[in-house]
Amino acid sequence: MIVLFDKFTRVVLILWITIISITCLGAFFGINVGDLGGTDNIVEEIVVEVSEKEARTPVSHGDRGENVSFTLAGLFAGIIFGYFWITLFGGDMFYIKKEGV
Amino acid sequence: MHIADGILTGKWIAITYAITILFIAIGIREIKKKSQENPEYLPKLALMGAAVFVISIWHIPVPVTGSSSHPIGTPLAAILVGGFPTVVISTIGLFFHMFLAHGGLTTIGANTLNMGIIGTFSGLFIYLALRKIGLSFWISAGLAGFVGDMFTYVGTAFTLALSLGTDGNVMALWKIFMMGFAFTQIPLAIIELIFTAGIIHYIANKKSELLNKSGLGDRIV
Repeated sequence: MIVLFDKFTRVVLILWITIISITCLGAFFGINVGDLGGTDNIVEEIVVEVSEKEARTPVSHGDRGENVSFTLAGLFAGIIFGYFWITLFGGDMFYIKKEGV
Repeated sequence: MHIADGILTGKWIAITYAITILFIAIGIREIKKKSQENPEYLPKLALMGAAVFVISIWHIPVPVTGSSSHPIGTPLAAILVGGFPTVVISTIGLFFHMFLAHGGLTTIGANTLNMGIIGTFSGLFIYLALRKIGLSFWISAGLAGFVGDMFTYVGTAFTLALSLGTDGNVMALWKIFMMGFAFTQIPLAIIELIFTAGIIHYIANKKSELLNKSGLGDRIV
């Protein structure tokens, strides 16, 4: 009997296919069954009914907000990456040893 | 459970941020300690962080109720990497959810409180209690997933009610918000029960040392 994959790969493939299937099924229902909005939206509508407050688009999601958010995310990622630089690559990454020195 | 910007009052933004910062501080200290004791801990934490990020934004439709929602993944993470570190990875996950228009900057504190703290520790409490009385890994983990998921939404409804309610109507508001979540969330909590039970059962059978090194397993296995 030809065994195509080892047991670990088989388990991972089954999991992967299951997750993709659920996602595809979700997309199918979303398109064909109608508007299956998230419960967050439903509750936000209740909030508008019971109070004068209204949900805003996250500050990070407008045109300007996205630029600011990605800049901040990049800044913090750079700081964290820089902090671990020597641990990851050693201290002599950019040190060019001159001949005879 | 993602509360959007503009809903919470300033007082509750401050309170939820304060509680969350306290838990994050303890979580960072615990991460530092565990990663010094075990070099494998940090990669495992990063992997669980990615898992929590994906699971907690993975909207699954529930056609019967006509809406969709998502599981949370924090009870699973808490069993594998510990409760306080899970708060830290939840906060990072929720920060990046903002880029996908979920939640908001002013509500990261509240969202972390509900998903990262209430969801994590309610699930963890159930897991530890059930393990202590001798129930199997998969039953304990599965019920932890279910309880953690439901309590996240109980907490979200309560946060909204506290913030928007006046003295007399907090519980009435809580019931209204809970009705908005509950019917869709119960099937998803059952899905959370199944995958939390399945993953912990698999790990317990195939790689039980991962549970032993979680910082929890060494006390319960």
